[in-house]
Amino acid sequence: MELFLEELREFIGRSHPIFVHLPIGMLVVAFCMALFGRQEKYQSIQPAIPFVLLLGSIAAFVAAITGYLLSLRGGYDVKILGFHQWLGIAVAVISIFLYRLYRVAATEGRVKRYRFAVFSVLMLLVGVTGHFGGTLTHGAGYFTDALPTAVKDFLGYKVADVELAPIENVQEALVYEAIVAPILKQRCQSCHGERKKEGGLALHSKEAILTGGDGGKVLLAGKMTESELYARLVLPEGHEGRMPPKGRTPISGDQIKLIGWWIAQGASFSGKVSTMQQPAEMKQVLANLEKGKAAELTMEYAELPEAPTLPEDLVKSLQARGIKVLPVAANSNYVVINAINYPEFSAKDMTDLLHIKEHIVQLKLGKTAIKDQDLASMTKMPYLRKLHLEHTKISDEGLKQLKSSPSLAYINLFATNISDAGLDYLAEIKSLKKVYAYQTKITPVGIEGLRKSHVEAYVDSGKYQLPFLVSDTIQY
Amino acid sequence: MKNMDKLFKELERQQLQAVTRRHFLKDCVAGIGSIALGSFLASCGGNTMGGGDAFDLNALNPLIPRAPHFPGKAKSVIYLHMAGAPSQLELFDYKPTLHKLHNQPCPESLLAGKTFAFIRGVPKMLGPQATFKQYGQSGAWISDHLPHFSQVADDVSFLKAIHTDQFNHGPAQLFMHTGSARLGRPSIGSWVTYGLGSENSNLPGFVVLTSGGKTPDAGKSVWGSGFLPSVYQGVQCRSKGDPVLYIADPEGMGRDLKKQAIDAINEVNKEEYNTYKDPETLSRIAQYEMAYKMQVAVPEVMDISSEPEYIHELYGTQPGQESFANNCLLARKLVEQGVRFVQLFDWGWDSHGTDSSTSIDLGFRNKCREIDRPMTALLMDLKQRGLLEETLVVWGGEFGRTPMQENRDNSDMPFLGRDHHTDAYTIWMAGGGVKPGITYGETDEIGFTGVSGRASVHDVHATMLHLLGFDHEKFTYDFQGRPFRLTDVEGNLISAVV
Repeated sequence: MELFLEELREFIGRSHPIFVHLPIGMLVVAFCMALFGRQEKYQSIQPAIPFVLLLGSIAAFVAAITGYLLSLRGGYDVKILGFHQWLGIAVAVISIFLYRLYRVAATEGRVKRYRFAVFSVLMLLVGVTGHFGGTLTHGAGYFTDALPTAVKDFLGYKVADVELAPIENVQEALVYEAIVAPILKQRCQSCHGERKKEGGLALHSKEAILTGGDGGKVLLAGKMTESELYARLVLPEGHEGRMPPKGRTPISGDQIKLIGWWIAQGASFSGKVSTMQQPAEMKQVLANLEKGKAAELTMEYAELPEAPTLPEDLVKSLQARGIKVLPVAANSNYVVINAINYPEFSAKDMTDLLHIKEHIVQLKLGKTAIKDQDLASMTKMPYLRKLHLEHTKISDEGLKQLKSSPSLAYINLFATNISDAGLDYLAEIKSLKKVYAYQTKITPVGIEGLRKSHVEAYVDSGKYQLPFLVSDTIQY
Repeated sequence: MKNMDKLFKELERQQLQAVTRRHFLKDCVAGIGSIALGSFLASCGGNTMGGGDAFDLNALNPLIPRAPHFPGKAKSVIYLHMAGAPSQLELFDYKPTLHKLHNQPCPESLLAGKTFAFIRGVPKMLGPQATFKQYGQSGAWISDHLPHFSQVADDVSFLKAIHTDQFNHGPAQLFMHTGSARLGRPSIGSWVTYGLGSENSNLPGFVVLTSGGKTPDAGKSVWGSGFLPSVYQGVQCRSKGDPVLYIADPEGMGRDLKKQAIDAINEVNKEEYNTYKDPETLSRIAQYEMAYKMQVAVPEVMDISSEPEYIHELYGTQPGQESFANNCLLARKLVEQGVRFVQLFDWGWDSHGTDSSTSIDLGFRNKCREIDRPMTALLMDLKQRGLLEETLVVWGGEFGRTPMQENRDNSDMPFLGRDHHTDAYTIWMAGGGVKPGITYGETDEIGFTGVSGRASVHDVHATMLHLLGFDHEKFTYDFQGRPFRLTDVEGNLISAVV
């Protein structure tokens, strides 16, 4: 019987969020009636005010009672709960008092003004009570977090950063402080934190984690699968007990692995990452933390200074010709020039390209009519790294023009007329790393010559062949 | 005359009816409803490339090249899909222990809770039906079934513990190509073409070539565009006959006349688009224009007979055939011409051992011979042309094969075969920013399941997108009220190979 009552109590308590909106609505309506009823035009609604007020106060009492039953379940921030509870009770009491005022003294002027002032205070209380109620359910900052960024900036409100920052040196980092705690903060603490302790569990401090929740300990050091802290994360999707619950931001696969690994390694609150055993897979996951999202930063062209804005008219004019001007990335002003649909590429086009010489990192001019003398302009492009001249009339004379290229690293000369003499010119380009010279007149001697100054350079003269093997013809 | 008047009156009324209805709808959109409807419509067909420039619907051509999130190393992709799933245990995943266990019954513990397509009861273990050696500086294990391929071992990176969750061909192929085992998602080629557009305005951005006599089990959805505008779906080209059906003009239709006709149709379509803003109208316009340009460009690029003899010798190609070798050569030609994504399907890898053609020691070896030289040649040819560093080549099946011998319906089989296996299989990647010579992931002693470096199909997709310059978590398309990703809500970058 006792159990039944307890369960009933819990059941009724859970209806609090439903009932709580009734008094708010009714009291607001009554207030509006009182406000407008003061005008002659709406005088006729005045007699209805006490009735609506009465309904509102009854609802307020129901809400207060269900709210109290819900609070017995525990798991809420005691301080906020106290405010909410007493304010709620105050709302109920004041509203019934107000009902008496509206009921009895309908005519006297002094009471009229005084009762309206009380009503205004009641409205204020309803608002504040509601706010604390919302904080209990959704956690602090529920609304402010969702404000449009522009408004936040205007109000000078700082956004709590939930994105995990990359770790500088993961092996030297403290495993709990730098890895585990931020994950718990990001994914768990809005329900299992200082303010709200769903199931009695809080995960905001070492003590709280070790204490566990209503169901006992959640962390058994060294026993990954037996620790609820991990086991709950890997329950099948749709399972009732899976954490984070449906509708919340899910925890990532890597984060689950990290928590599991931390527990399996003894759940140390003070150890360094380097002191723990790291299977190959975990090494990978840990390394990801270091680079993480910051991996983009190590991408190509990241070390170049920010390029100036591209001249729009010129880009349009080039595009209209069929010369493609392609930014290397969405937020970059560095471009790849591709003349794949513009074989008639000429000296004039080259002059135009010089207007964006600081933007060009790659020139794809294969199969175009580009001539030797046009190459001289390319040395004026400070960041030009890749140059495609395959299937063109370029000869050694042209490569001579390229000698002073500041950053050229890749040159494709496949199916051109160049020879060893051309490679000698290329040898003067310090930044050069790769030369593709399939179907040209270069010889191994020339390649050796280039290697003298460019030990690491890759020169590909192609002509790959696959030997004919007996097994090529065997039919099984 | 009176009748004539009546007729005019009726016409007028009809027109008015039409006009008022349109006006009403327009007013709805322009009025109060515009805010709600606007955002609703945007979520129906809108798009977010995350941090990238929003796809501008007014830039009439949906195939213009676009920039990725960050500078990608790979600019194009050649995806070699071995439909039917080749056995990793006869090609790359060397398991000497399995050899010792040959013909012994499979321990029950391995079978508990597992589902197989055909294996019933307790099957016997099947030792590797190939001999293995290590090749190159990287010491990658490659079997004697691929004597040519072993020469390029150092250019390739192997992912040896890929796992999937689908054990039937159709769903598994869909999963491998669209990130979902169910129909309706865009294929990876469509995603990539949607994200990057096409660099060559005269060729489609996404081309599909098939060989092996059959198309994939999952049908053409494996190169479909799903909820993306249909202009991004793969264009299937044939290596025999007209590369694209009806590509030649009919008799009496001149090139100029055709151009005029297409211009007129596009003019009408542009008006239609300005009125209704349906992205499919843009697709239509783009497809007309593309078709016109393709009439010249496609037959040219699809003609391998003009290639020199030594190239034919390298690839083992014979013009006019439908073969994997021809498709490899075509893939190189297409990528050379700026095609973004080339998808190859080679059918015939389903080595169950039901007859000699699907036997692991007979038919399987024929399949190996058919791909060995061409795929090696492809890598070499891309390399000597300076294309490999910007071209990502991916090879793999839709799942792996069991270390056990198949015992269909719990009976002995006349030939050696292996059943479908989802827990571990090997794929390789090369070029396009992939670190060469890496072997990532390891399976247990018998190759049953991955013990380290396990990676899912989503992880493979995340890695491919990363190489192309996309953060797979931000590369989304809004459909039915939520942003969709190729990797859905999963996928981790396999950073060991990038």
